[in-house]
Amino acid sequence: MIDNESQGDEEDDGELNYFSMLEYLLGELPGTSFTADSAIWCESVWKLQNRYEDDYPELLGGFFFTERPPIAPTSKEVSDFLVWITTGRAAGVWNPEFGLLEVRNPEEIKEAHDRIGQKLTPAQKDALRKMAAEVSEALVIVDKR
Amino acid sequence: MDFQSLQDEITPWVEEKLSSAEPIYYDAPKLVRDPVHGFIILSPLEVTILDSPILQRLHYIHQTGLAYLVYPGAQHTRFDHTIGVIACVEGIARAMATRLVGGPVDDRTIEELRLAALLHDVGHGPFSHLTESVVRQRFAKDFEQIRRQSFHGTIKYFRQAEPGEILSYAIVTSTPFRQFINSVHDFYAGRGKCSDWDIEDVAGLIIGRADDDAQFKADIINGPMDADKIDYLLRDCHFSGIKAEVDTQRICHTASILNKPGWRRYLVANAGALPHLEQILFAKMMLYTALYHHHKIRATGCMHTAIFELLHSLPEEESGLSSIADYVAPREFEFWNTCLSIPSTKPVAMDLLNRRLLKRALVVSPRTTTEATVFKITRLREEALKPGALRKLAGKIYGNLPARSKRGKHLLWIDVPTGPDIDEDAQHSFVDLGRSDPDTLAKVFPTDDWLKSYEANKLTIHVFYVDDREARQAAAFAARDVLKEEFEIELKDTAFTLAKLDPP
Repeated sequence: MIDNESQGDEEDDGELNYFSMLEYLLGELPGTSFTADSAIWCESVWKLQNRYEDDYPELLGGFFFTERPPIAPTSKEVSDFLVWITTGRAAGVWNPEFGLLEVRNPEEIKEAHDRIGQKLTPAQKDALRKMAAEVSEALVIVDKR
Repeated sequence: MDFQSLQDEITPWVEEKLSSAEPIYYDAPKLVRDPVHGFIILSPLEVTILDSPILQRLHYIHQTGLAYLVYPGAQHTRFDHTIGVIACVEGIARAMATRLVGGPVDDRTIEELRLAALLHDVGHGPFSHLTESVVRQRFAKDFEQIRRQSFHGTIKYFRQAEPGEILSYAIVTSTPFRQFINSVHDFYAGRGKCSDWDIEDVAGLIIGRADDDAQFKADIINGPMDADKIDYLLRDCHFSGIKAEVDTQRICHTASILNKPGWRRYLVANAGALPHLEQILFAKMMLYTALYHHHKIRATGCMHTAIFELLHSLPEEESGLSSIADYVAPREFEFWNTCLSIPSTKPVAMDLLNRRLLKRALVVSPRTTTEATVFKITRLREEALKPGALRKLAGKIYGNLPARSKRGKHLLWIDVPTGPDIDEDAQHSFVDLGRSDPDTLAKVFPTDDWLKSYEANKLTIHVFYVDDREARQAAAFAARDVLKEEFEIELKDTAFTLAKLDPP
């Protein structure tokens, strides 16, 4: 169980990875409050993958899902993203009971969104905007106070 | 590369290996004494397979890579572990057969499960997961393609399988291995000493595949709380000397098969298993903290990867690495011989053999980073996902060193580990608490929070460099500058003092 997967002498070919894809998607979502429920995130990305992977394998091909129906499919990549985005404190879970993932550093998310956006083609950006709109209802928590 | 091409690369080696020794047949079972599980009875068929060169090579593959350089007792091998997994499978399956009288766990099923346990690790190369990581990195696009491909009429057939498991599957389903196993089967079946199983089904269990009504079998071999995990946790603790308890017998006697409409027949534990499953998760976190993520063990992993970096810079005819089989096939003593015979890899190999390990130059974690820039670590983590990016970064640090501190770029490493996958285990493990549907362990235990806590408090990024203090101090300052320039990470003095170096 010793991994060293982040090393290696293969060159970066500039492609997106699952982490940057989700970071960009997060920047596309409206507001700063999202569900912290990993199962909902996983199911949302799973649906996107089923729908768009053939057209955009470079955006969605890096996610692998474990399917144990009837429970929702899960993905190590999605869970990994959620853990790191909170551990890195760009976002935080303020209230575990409520499961709220709140962006603490919106400028950091925006900076990542812009940086990753430089690597994307206009078509990829359009696709991700469309994807964000599709998962918005499931992921975004609207403050009704 | 698709699966067929991968298997074509492996097959000549399997054929050569199997033809190097004639099968040995036995009249009676054999009793093996195992330090973890006690006596284990092996059937004549199992002993014949264990005696084959494909299985015997596992004697020369350490279970925990080079961890024995830090925990001297951790000398256990994939062979010991293989036999241990058979014992765990037997324990779980026999307990189920006893309780579920007339159920699906009959002698044939147990034989099939034991065979899958016996064969599950044949795809490992020298130093187990260390070489698996090199293979995963070197053949990343190939494995991604394989995990996406359709096979046996199923989309993404290998999606849940790790490279080592795919390699085990490729070996077990290769033509020469099938011929071998069929001849062994026919010999014992003709004497009434084995059942009628299909090796394709057995191989499927290794990658977590089974029919819906037999999912429990795949769960026992390659599931979230499988026999493999139970054995490696116990074995790694036993041989390293780390104290963590797992009550195997209790877990065996709480295992059952889910039988609810709309659900596959998953392996499920009853409520009595909860504290023991919790023990498994804690044992895993304990092993990550004390063993798998121990900074010196991570340093041995970097040195192992350094050897491959040097080999990859040579022409194939010199490195001997022209196909994936060349990574998997060598036993550890053959790996050492190769490294010592090549001038560029000899010094690193000698350093490992003499235990002259790389040391910490910088310790980067939320604790050693200023509060204002702690979230920038995420960017370093993201960078680590890009193939080759960490090496490029290490190259930049190395390039900034003063000439007198340069000892070789292959000796400077940035190590970004990944956390224990306990949330994955918990999300997929079912427990029957008497409600209408089973719960996942993730609903019962806050594993998500445990993992976040682990990542925030225990997971550490290191910069490793040579033992020479002056050179390491220079590397620490150069690494600090590069991390600030590239990621805006600002470090506290503890980033240096934890590495036993002077702060700026």
